[in-house]
Amino acid sequence: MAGIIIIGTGHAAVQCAASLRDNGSSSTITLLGGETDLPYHRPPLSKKYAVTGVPEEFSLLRAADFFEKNNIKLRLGKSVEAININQRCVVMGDSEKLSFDQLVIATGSQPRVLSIPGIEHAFSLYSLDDARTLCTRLGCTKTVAVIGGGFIGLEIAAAVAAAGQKVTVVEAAPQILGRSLTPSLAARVRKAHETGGLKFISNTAVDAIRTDGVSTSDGFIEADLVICGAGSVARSELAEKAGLTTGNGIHVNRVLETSVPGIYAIGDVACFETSTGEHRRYESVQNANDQARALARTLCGERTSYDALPWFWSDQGSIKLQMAGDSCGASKVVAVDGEKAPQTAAFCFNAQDHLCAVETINWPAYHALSRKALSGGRVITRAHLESADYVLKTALKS
Amino acid sequence: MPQICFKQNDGSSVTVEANAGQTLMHEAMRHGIVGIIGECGGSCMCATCHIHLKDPGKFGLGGISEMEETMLELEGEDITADSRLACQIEITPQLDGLIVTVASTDD
Ligand SMILES: Cc1cc2nc3c(=O)[nH]c(=O)nc-3n(C[C@H](O)[C@H](O)[C@H](O)COP(=O)(O)OP(=O)(O)OC[C@H]3O[C@@H](n4cnc5c(N)ncnc54)[C@H](O)[C@@H]3O)c2cc1C
Ligand code: FES
Repeated sequence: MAGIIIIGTGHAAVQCAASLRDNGSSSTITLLGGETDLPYHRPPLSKKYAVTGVPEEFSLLRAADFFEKNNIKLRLGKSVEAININQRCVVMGDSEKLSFDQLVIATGSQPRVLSIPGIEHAFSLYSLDDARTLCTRLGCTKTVAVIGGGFIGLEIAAAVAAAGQKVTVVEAAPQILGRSLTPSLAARVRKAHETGGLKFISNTAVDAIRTDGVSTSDGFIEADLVICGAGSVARSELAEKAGLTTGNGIHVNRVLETSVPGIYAIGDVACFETSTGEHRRYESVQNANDQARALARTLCGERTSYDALPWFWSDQGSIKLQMAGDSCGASKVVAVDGEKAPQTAAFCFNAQDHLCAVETINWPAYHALSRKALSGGRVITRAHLESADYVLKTALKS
Repeated sequence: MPQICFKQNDGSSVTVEANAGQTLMHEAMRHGIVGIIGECGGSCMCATCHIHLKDPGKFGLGGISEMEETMLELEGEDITADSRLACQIEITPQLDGLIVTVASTDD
């Protein structure tokens, strides 16, 4: 038996291997990963490590001896170059071939590279190695420009500013966090960052990057260092070359299977079909882990559709953003302010006026309650929440 | 270094030398304690670091935050009065001798 090959050693890959063993799989399981560090948590990179440096005991996904103990072959520094569907094998950079019965593609996403002159002078942040490089460079700078006001860009910007450097965030769209947060919350986040000392230039595209700053449609901004946080793209090249159906990630059905039977995709790279027939690709730890669990069940014989409630967090200095549900198709949003600005909860409703997502700033208890409200097939209407004065605890009791 | 004893689901116990300043979750993970997963890396978002503590008051451990309490309620399984999230507990020399029981997991 050739067993199960998992490409990647990130959140999705590691959880899938662990869940396969939890579900009693006795297959040979091999993880092939391009990185050389033991599998680690990515979120601390932008919140901490890029500024403080990578500690010797960085946050591991599993203890170092977990893989051996569970008879999981962890092969680091092994980049897969091709998938051969007919021979059912993968080919690695050093030409080594490995056969599989089932293949799981968990290659994640990587920072988008802007096609502008001088992009080679900009730094991006995806891996521990990137954090190591960035931290060394930040040791000899005073002013930093961050291109892109998305989650990762803002996390780095806040961390660098907290360390005493002058940071300017340049955003092409009129509003920061435009693709991921409801506008009223994004405005509150921006205001809180401005109070904290971050400078924003929005509605402004960067035309070129130089070693001494960035030139924009609105003039030149001086910076000793330029960090690019312009979103991520799915790493689906391997799948595309092999002839799998792709397009904003690798297309998978409800049980996370690609267009070729026996080949699956999970995590950031997977563009999956939801219970309502739409296609979604999420970049979150929750999505990676929950898809990995669902797939492990399927691979152990219990066919499982992926149907978990999405949730996400982003820590930006003193701002804690948390999201539950999918605000993508929201037609109405009601924002409720808490006691101390910027504390806010935004309730998002779909066309039927049912609660579909809750986004919070510095309100973790509300986040947890909203996950309860949105899970288990519960329907909460706008009228119901209104009658409870948007106090979630009251709404959940009645 | 404080010594902390973890009781795992299979009945076995592991005593570790824990680093002060780290969280209980981090140290449990580092020593491969079975049943502590720490999926969210300690952001109080996942409750996969659910534990039960014996006599928390005796070790100078303070009360539980609203965020931690609500996350525990959300997780919903096997919650008792001594339930805590290991990522929300910082290790201090005072914790020497603490006994931690890993909460049972379903998958
Ligand atoms: C800086 C940063 C901060 C983040 N913060 C948060 C946060 O606060 N909250 C949150 O929910 N999410 C956060 N995320 C997103 C989260 O980390 C991802 O959603 C998660 O890592 C996805 O897991 P994955 O396993 O799908 O992919 P990844 O973790 O990206 O892992 C993919 C792995 O596959 C390997 N690989 C790719 N191609 C090949 C190949 N051809 N051969 C071999 N190996 C290959 C890669 O090297 C990598 O190790 C953050 C991401 C970053 C980069
Ligand atoms: S590690 Fe996620 S809640 Fe403790």
